[in-house]
Order: sequence, then structure tokens, then C-alpha cells
Amino acid sequence: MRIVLVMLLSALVGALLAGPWIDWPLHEGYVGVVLMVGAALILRRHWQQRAATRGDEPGEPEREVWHGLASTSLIGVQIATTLYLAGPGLALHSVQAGQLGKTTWTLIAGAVVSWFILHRREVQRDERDRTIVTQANRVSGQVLAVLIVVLAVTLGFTPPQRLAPMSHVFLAHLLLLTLVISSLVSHALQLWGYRRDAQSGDAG
Amino acid sequence: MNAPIGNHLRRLRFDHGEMTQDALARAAGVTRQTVIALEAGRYAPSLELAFRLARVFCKRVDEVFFWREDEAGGQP
Repeated sequence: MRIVLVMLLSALVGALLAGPWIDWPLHEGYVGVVLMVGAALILRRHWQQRAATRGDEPGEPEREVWHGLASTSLIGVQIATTLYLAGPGLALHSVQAGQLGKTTWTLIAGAVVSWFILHRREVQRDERDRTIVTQANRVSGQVLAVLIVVLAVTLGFTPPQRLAPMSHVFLAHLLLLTLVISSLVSHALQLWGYRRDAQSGDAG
Repeated sequence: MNAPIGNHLRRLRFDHGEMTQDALARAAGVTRQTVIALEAGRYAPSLELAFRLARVFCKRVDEVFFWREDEAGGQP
């Protein structure tokens, strides 16, 4: 439930940053960076308190997955919303493409900064984490293969007159979105793996 | 569902000067969360990790880990 909530909340922020519904006082990318850094600071404090009081804070690898889920969801939906609003004819040297590029790269910079805020250097990934990652990546790899096959078949059977309005930039971002979806599946499954670990312990 | 392999890690930690989970994790080269999962019986370690944990306490692997059916039958 918490996994879905974090994904949806991040997606909502991504959509709001890309859409015309809110007149932000700063550039959308900077607003995203402020939100990411703020969330990372709050989360770091929350996990420090959990470590001090209950000792059940997530380990470094799990923290990285939470960060990956939130930032990938936010950036992915920001790209998807921009593409949807711009339409298939999005040109490379247009205001919208420039805006998309600036916002996306600023958000990626924000994701890197927030990762450094949450990162603890002394803890490493061990065999339990690697098992969880392997299981999740096996499924996400299959999801990626299916998405690419579906996209390839769809594009292959689309009549030329309907394909013509689609720009290279639009198609390239569609391909990127398959990677984003696959990455989200991987992150969600890893967190589900950690969650399942914790729940089986509660039951036993 | 618990792992089929049980262990005496918690008791061994206390027998070794009340060693913390963090200290054991560092000595064995794993995260503290994995030590917690092992002690709670939620995770069955690889053979390599089982040996590394046993070495921390200067014990044999079968003195640290056991098959749960054996304990249920012989040592409740």
C-alpha cells in the first residue's frame, strides 16, 4: 500500500510540474528540486528517529530503492505528461522540447542531490539484497521485453499516414518511457520483497 | 513463512559479551537488517554467509545453524 502511495504521490507531483494547471513561482524543474530535497531531508530525519527509537529503519539498499521509486515515478510522469500535452508532433527545436529537456535534467540533478542526502556510506549491499534485486530485475526485464515488442508491433502495423505526424523526439521519448516503466516495476518489486520479508517475520 | 533453517545467533551474541547486531553485521560483512532477518528466522543464509557467521563466534556451522524439523523433533 505504501509502495503504491509513494508512486502515485510522486507521479502526481510529476504531472503537476509538467502541466499548465499551477503557475509556479519558479521554473518547474527548480520546484521539483526543492520538493525532492525537502522530502529527502524529512525522510532522513524520520529514519534517524526510527533507528534511535525502534531500530527498524530500512537499510541502505532499501533506502536507495525508495529513492529510486519516487524519483523515477516523478520524472517519468513529468515526461509522459509533457508528451501527452505536446502531442506526437513535438519538434526537437521547439519551446516545449526545450522546456521538457531543461525540466527533466534539472529534476535528474535534484534526484542526485536527494540521493546524497539519504545515502550512508558505511553500509553495503549484501546477499539478501542481491537476491531481492535479482528476483525483481528478472520480472522487470520481462516487462521491458513485452513493452518493446508491443511498441515495435504497434509502430510496425501503424499506417504511414498515422505515423507521419510522430516526430523523432516523440518516438525517442516513448522508448525512454518503456525503460522508466520497467525501472518502476523493478523498484516496486524490490520494495515488495523487503515488505514480504518483514511481514513473514511478523507472522512467525 | 519462516526459513527452514533456524539459528542460535541471538544467544551467541549475548554469550559473546552482549555483542550488538550492528557489530555482528560488520564482522560478517552484511547489513544489520540481514542480521535482524536471520535472527527472526525470515532469511536462510548462503553457505558462505553461514560459515562467516560461525567464524565470528569460533563455532562450527552446525553449532550455529540447525534444520527446524530436527529441533522440533528433538529439542523443542
